[in-house]
Amino acid sequence: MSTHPTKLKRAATGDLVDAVLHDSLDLDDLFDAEKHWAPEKIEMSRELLNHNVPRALWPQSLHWNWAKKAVDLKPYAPGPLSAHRLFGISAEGKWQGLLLARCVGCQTRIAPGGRDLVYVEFVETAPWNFRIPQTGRDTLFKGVGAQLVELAIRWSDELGFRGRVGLHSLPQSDSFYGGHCGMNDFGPDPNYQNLRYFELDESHARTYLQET
Amino acid sequence: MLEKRTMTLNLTPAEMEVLEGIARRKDVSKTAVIRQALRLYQLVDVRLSQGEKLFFEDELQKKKSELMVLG
Repeated sequence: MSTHPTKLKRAATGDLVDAVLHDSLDLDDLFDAEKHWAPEKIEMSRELLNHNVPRALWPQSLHWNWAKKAVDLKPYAPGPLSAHRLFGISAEGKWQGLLLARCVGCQTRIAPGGRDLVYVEFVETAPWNFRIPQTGRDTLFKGVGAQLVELAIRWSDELGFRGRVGLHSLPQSDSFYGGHCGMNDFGPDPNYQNLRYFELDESHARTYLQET
Repeated sequence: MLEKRTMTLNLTPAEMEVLEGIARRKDVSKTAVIRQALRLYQLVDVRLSQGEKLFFEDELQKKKSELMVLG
């Protein structure tokens, strides 16, 4: 696994904290993440219930389970020459965010079609980085998602795909991908639970890498 | 940056034409096409060796056909 030093901003103080980007995780790392994330999500669910927060406002990835994803991923054997690749960012001894991407079988929807891209299957920040105003929870670290997306863009570039990246977004993240990331919004995809499909074109990928 | 090794690849004109056509259509280098082909081959091979089958599906036409891969 190759690693690169980076920084994350502690939301409460604005301090920059040492962090590490990992660009090739193995399945065991997913179990490590889930070991810490699951108890936090259970506590978060309890808070959401106790504060009578409507289900529509709950974090939409609350039910995700990276240990289960590790089991499902086993036949695809993530590795240097695999179609799948796992990225992560760690700080203070814990995984702060994870991203699973695939580079085979995904083509751009931006004309002219047929060109390959990196498709982000799942990306999630650690539950302590969720912001839930209704329960008084604030983000611990900011900027996790943006750095993970950058890793996916760099992988796309390395593959010769010129930074093209596509994904289906959970509704709570639509504004992040359409706004912060500058991705093209193709609207709800009837073939994918009506989640909006977003795609980063080459020009926006270059801008993204220059700005980060 | 991953370590890279160089090799000479001998292709027939027909194979080269296909390679160049894919590279042009996908807007990537010929090396990138070969790399992707390796990934795809590996992916298919692993799944087939586990006893799975490979299908192409046309959702509009409701057609599904098994792709025979010669081992």
